[in-house]
Amino acid sequence: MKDILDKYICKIEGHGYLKLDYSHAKVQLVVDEGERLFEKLLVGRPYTDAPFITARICGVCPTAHTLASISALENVFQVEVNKDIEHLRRILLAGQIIQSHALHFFFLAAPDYIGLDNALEIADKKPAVFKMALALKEIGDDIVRTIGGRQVHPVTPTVGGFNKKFDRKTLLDLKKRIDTNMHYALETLDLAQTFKYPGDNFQFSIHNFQSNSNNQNLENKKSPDSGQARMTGWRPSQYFALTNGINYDIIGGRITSTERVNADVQDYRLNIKEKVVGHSTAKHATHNKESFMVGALSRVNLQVKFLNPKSKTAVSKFKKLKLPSTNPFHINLAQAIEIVHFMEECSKLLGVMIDGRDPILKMPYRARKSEAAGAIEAPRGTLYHWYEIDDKGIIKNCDIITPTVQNLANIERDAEFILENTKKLPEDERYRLLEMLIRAYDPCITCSVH
Amino acid sequence: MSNTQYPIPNTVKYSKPKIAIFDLTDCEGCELQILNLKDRLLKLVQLVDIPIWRLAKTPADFGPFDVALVEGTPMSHDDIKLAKKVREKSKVVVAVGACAHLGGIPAAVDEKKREKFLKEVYGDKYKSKAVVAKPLSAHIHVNHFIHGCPIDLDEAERVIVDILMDKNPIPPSHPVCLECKERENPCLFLKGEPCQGPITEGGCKAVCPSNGLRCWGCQGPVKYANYDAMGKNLERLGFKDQTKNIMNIFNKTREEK
Repeated sequence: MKDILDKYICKIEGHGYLKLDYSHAKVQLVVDEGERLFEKLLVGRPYTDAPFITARICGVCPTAHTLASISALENVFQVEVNKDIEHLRRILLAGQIIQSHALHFFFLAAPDYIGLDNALEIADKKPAVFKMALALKEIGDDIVRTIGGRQVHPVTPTVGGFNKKFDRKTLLDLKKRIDTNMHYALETLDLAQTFKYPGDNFQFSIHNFQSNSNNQNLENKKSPDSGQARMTGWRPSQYFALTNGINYDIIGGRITSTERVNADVQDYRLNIKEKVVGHSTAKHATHNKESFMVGALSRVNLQVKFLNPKSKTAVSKFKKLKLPSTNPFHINLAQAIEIVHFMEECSKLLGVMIDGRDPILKMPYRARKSEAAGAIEAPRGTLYHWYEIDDKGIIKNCDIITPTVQNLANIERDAEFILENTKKLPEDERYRLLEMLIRAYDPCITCSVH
Repeated sequence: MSNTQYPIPNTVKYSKPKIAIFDLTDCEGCELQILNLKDRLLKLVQLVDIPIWRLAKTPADFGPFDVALVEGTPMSHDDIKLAKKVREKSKVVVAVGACAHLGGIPAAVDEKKREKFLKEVYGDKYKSKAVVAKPLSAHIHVNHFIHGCPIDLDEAERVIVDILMDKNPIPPSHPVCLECKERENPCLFLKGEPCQGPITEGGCKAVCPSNGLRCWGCQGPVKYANYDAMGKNLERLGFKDQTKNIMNIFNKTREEK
């Protein structure tokens, strides 16, 4: 049993391990998940199955898949939804992002920075932090449960709107719960600021990983010859996210990047190319043959000016964070920023819904023969779904590109960059830095093999 | 349920039973549901040790275990090998969620076409990892099941606590329809939707039909499920080409039995 389990990186979604060549600084992240062939098992089924089945690609971001699938199908049938439906979808997707970020930030990534192994140890030794974790996970679950019907694998969203109506009191109560828990999100941001991110100040070392006494020693050693690795700056990447130039976009914008890519979602295949790589059951995506990054840090890098007031104020106070940031460990910081932003967003949109007239939550439409893509911002980045539907409403063809597929190549390049810059460190510490990097990226390996 | 108090053994000799959590090929949504037990999980971990849970911690020891919760569809050689090791080392094996229980969505692929599909998605040279998707019980003996996609929190808690208290967790044995009627939902089947409630085991609190979505059968067949009648009724409703797709979405391996 040990031989099977020991190689896998723990505290990430799905099965993956590292193949390393320390001396040549070569890294392969071996994605070791069985192929479930979602793109093929959808073929021959009615289009209404797609939002339900694709949710099962990932248990951490099912709502994102459901909404991406709906977005693509509505593009196929040219359905225009009204503002109310759009608002509710944004709330639902924001809830999904809070859920996923809270899970990843506290349960998977934070133990690395706090210097404990897992969340149960945090519960034991840092009960205040654990309280924040539970409160934020619960508020994310609460939003998705209230609007989506269930916290994992939502049931209410459908092509054309929602299966269910929501009364004003339900929405008002949800808004109250979000507002009363807002302080936990702000405290999380404070906590994220206290973390020491490897690569900050151009130094690689694991500050918080060791016991306290070791920690002291490391802190005291400041000279470059003390075993800490120095470098001249982070390896820059290109950052991709959907943006619309009006607000912090998560649904419906254009594909944009820090290198001035600006493309329609329907042209996704021209910009993002998938290829099969030998060592991984997940494909790797590139843009012009270069790796790139998607996800929380990409979104914050591209759209910091559209953050909601509380998160924006908090970010402006950060001394550590200079945007755009090229340090991938700042993904965790970006997640904390986004938790605040999206809680404000949900509260704001719920306010609009509560004050508005009774919404119509189902748009009439007719299925037709066509093909189209749809994209949304999932917690880990841009998620593309594409469907070809025949005249009977049956799926003829399907293509899904998940955020992690887009990040995998960049993860390997960043990991190689760390190896190149840490030649003075002992091997086990270099390995732990890499594991920490992988975790910081929050890869969803189950998503990447679909 | 959320205020449940468990009897905490106060003898000095109480040694915590070991519950190990394993994930095979799947979406990890059911593991997440276990995590979603939140404060209920915190109470549970006072009673037990969790030596293995890859999603949440570094493995602490590799058995033997009192209880193994196994999530996911065994699809690769490693999955199947791991499942067999888990069986060897565990007193009680619980299949968690539709993937482990029924094969679930990963098993909905037409196995005869697997090779062809793999070539279409990954190209000719690709060497695949997955071999075949079947329920856990096709490979090892399973003692108990927690149903659903994803699992219901209350059922998960009840089954785990029952096992810890040396009880035999008893599945609900009534169709989803009973729980749906209990909630006074309008019948989706009568509306002409291919709702699978009549042949599907309850325990999910009819969460889908209560939110306006038909039942898809993720909890597996209820006792005395009449698939023939369901098939004929689906034909009457106009789903002639799709009857198998509809009835077997989570439970395709049923066809082989």
